[in-house]
Amino acid sequence: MLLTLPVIAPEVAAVIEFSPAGERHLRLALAMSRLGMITDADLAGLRRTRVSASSIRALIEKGWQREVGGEYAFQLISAYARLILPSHDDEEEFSTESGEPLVGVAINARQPEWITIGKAFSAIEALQTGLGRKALAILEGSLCHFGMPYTVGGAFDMAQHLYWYGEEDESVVLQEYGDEADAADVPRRADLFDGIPEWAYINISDEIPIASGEEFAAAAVRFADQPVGKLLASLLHLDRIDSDNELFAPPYQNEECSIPNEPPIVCGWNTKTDFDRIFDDNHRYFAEGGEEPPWSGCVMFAPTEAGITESLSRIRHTGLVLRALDAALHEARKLNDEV
Amino acid sequence: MKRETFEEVLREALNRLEATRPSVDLASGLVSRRADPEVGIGGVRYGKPEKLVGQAVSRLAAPGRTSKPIVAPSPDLMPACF
Repeated sequence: MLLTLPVIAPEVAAVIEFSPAGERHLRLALAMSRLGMITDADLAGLRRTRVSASSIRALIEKGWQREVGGEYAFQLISAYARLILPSHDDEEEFSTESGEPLVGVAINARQPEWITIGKAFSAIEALQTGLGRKALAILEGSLCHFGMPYTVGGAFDMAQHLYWYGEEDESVVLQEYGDEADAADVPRRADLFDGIPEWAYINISDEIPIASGEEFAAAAVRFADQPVGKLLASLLHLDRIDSDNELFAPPYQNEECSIPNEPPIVCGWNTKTDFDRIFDDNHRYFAEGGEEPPWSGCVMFAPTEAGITESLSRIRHTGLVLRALDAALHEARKLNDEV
Repeated sequence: MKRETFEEVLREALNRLEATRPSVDLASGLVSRRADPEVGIGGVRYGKPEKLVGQAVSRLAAPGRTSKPIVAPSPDLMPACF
């Protein structure tokens, strides 16, 4: 809703959004100016008679882009950050218990790219048993920020819950079909994961070896000059930088919403489309299941100098984790193409 | 624009937003809007000229008024059902 303020500048009446969103814009711009996030050069072209909603928005966007934009530029993943100055409808969500207004930097992911990684991680596993499995665990652990990872391990988890009552294959489900089991339209594990080694997708098993963190770090040094060296180094960096979940942008807190379902990448094993049936069924399940959270993570803060200063470390850390994830996936795709 | 001027403009805008924010009377639960003293009610500035006009109109309308009480109808004129 647009209303005419009494006056922003005495000479000419200004039009600005007269809503909590407008107030947040003003507060945030004032705090940013005091912190130097809006520079003298930004203000040089502005006149008292031209301080409008759009000019304030432009200053805010420019200031934030300069401050953290570089940390959210990625080669491969479709993740992005957006600054949220909420409308009246979202007032409750973006307010403290005492009614103080908040704004937020939210993380989402657009339509992802499809890549293949099977040869790359198999090459790692071939060097040392358990190493490839650990490498995949590091990658999938970070992808969990966006919900179930769209990888071979994530596909197996999805298949277990979508088709097999949480079991490791279809046998329990088929028992219910009795004599008609052969004709039952239940996806079989052997079909879905044909040609894929178990170490790649069995996440919980005492029988399948997995390297420890220390062994992985040692291997990254030992195999640094090998073709897998860069991928190992990037995964080691990702493992270290993403070791504390508390620092990453927190997920949406609402009992009615499920976990996020915004994959920033889709990883096939032998081909890009290996698990498309599972991923499509999973997407449909999420769409029918209820509301999806509006973001995968969001750093909320008061539009004040203290609020901005305290939130910046978290916003920067989140960006660094995503850049590390992006770099590791880039190396995985590159190695997979070369092997 | 100088930074000081920019920040002053923002502070003034925030002060005006604060001044026109509705307040809640906790006792009655009524929401009242504080009038902007500069703008006045309905956005009209009420100064001396408006007061003089009001007084003149009042004097013109005065002869038509009466302070005598309204006469109650006679019981003889009341309908039989009463």
